Amino acid sequence: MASTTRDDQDAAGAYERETTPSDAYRTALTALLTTQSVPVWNVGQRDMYGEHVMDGPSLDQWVRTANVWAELERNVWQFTNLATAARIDMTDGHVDGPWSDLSGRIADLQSSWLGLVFSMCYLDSIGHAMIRLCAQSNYGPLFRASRPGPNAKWGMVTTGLLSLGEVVALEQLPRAEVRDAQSQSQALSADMLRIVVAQEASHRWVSEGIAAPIDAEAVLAAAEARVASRLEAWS
Amino acid sequence: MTTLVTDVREKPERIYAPLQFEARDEMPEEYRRMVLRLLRETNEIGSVKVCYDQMREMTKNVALAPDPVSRVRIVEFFADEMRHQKIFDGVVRAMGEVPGEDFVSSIDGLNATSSVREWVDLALLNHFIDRVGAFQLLDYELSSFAPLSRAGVAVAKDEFGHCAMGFQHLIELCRTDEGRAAVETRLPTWYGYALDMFGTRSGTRQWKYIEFGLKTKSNEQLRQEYLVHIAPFFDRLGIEQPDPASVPRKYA
Repeated sequence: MASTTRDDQDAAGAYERETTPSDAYRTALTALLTTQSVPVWNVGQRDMYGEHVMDGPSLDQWVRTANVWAELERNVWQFTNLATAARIDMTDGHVDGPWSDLSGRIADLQSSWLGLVFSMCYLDSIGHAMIRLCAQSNYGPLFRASRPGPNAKWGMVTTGLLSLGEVVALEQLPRAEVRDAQSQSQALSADMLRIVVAQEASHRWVSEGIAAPIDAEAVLAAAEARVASRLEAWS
Repeated sequence: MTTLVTDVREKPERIYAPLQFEARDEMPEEYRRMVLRLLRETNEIGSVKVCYDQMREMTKNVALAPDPVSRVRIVEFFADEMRHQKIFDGVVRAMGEVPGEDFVSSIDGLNATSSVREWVDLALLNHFIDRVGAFQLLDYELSSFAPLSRAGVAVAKDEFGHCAMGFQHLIELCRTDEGRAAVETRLPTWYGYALDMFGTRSGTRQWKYIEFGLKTKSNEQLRQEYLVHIAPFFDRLGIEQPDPASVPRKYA
């Protein structure tokens, strides 16, 4: 039987929940998962989807929002399994961590159907970027989640963009209302990215090989460009 | 225990070929009316207020899920049903019709979806009612109305998935004495709804559907196939299959 080398340990998917190498690694892993919980795994957002899934202005919009709701429920369930394995406490779909200061603003944004649409465009864009950063993770469960994860998150983002495009093309909602929601979600996503960057700087998940570093400016710029392209007809 | 019931008459010869008409084609007026009636009876015409209200009511069922996995399944079920609402609404509109507020089903089993208040009812609905839907939709496979053929097969696949989910939930419920008692108490009502959904044995409209090639099987033929198909599920639950005459029926 071959011995395990340092290179093997750093390889993608090298560690499982029972074989994490150190307390420092486990601390970094916990910090990463709690940071991912809201943008990647949509923790704490299920009820808003259930409440507003049929508040959109057309049958097509209800269908799209229902599909994202289902995806989101799968995300929360998957995170529950990841978190349980990593011994992170979850209560009723909420996780303590870096998002407590922003949870009120997230709930406020998602308190309308239009807010859910912008949440897909912006917040899920951050989640999409973050799960892609685990493509070479040495933590097996995250490495495996990073295979289907980006497609699932990208599906949520594109659904948001498609929904926004229909709102604009068919003038389904007042322009001022749409622009207000856009401003609110822009500011929120910028603050969320600041938290992600701060968390990354104060924990060791990059040096431990659990995730690659985020380029927050690029993530925000890309999300804004995508939204701007959908709003172009109103400029 | 079920008693085999046969049809009251011979089936008529079909006059239109499978997939003969598309939504925008010219078609005989009576044929068009019959197609619209079939679509109306799906109760999946999303732009109609009754259908909207029923779907809205269904969102509350998510809170009934007893565990996280069941919750995921129920939301996926909801998303499927919402997509069906778009599919059949789209077929009606492709025919140049704008469904009015009275474009709603007369089928009690479908309208009973709004009466779900407990998890056991939802499990029974998925197991019995969605299975009837799947049987009826699969009978459109060779329909002379092509959109119904295409939509029927695709949606039936989803409905069989919902049946599997409902059966899984029934198995889980039957693991406790309390759950099994609830299943046994509520089962006759939902089974009765399901058996009635096929329509009456003597109804005259069914023969016209077959003559037009919209359907291939009579009400009683489909009901008998359903009774045979569902028998093993009762065995697996350890519940005796009720005689169709012994459960609450509107069209006994």
